[in-house]
Amino acid sequence: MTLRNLGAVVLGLLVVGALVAGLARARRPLPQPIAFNHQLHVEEMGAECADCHQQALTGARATIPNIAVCADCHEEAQGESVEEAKLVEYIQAGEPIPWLKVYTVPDHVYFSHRRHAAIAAIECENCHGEVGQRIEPVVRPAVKMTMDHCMDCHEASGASNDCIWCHY
Amino acid sequence: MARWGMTIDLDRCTGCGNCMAACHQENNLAAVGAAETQENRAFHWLRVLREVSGEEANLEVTYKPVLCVQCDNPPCVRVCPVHATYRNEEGIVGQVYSRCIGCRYCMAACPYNAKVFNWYEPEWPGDLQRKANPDVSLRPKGVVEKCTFCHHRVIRAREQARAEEREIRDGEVTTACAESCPAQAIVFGDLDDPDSRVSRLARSPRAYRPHADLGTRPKVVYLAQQE
Repeated sequence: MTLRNLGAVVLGLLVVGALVAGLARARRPLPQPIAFNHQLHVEEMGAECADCHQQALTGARATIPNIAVCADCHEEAQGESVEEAKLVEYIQAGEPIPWLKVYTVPDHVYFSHRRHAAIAAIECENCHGEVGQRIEPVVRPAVKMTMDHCMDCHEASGASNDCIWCHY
Repeated sequence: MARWGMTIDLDRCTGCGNCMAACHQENNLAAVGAAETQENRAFHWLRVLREVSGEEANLEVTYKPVLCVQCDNPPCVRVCPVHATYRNEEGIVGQVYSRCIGCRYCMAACPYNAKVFNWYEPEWPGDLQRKANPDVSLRPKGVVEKCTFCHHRVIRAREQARAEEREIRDGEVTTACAESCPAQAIVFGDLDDPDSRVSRLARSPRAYRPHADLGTRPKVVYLAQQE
């Protein structure tokens, strides 16, 4: 094997390694502190998304609810669930739940939930999948948050694809 | 669709500098420090130029705020190799920081000296960083930036208008500089709306467009001082 061939093989291995590492990173589930059951809250208790994600219709960020919101119902345990017991412990200790953020957009993107969910009346499921029917906690995004995803939807709905509408 | 523009009445401008301060605060402009300012690396999207004339006993001082004039035929756009700067449908010359490679061709092409370069990692003295405007991104070292006509405010106004199912009203959206001007020298609005305040002022006999001879078709219109 010539030195040149060896170089090509090493480079190839590096590229494959980087791809595998990238994929593993992208697919790795996030270890949420509590196995939150969306289905129980949405389907059985009849909660709306914005009941807990309180800024979803009014602010740029939907916000992830924390003990102040949860305490409205869970000051005391409502059932026998181990996961709920963890929540009650956080509430009683006055310690915020260290939720891990699943959906992120890069710093150079300005995304407003109000603009999408309230004004354009786009269903939450368009980007977040059937989250209301999930029993397991949300550990990875339902949709890959790429610029293509944004632009395809903008094009289909007649919204602007002007750069500075999102990058400013 | 609106075509945003601005008029600046030089008779009204007192050179107080409120517009500069408001622009810095609104758009999260970094502070470069005294030594860097000495090296001509001071950092403003809007500057107030001072012109002194006349005899010593009777000096005459005039002031002129200068900023990106949002050309309809922008020379900066033609030279950008990566499409980081472009003119959008509403006539605002956008600057997309994440695309900019920092070549500064646009700065060389701009006859108005309106663009600035991030020579340093951005810094804000004291706790100003925590007071950054969340509607405007913080630019990194190595990219060019400039006045955006407070485009984020235009977006916010459009959002509100859509929520109320109406058009944006004249005077509803204004820039930070115009809002802060105590003499109301700066007026912002839709130049294509013949009834808007800005378009009426832009038709005044005092109105002139800076370096109109260059064919850049600026949308910042000055109202000349009267004798």
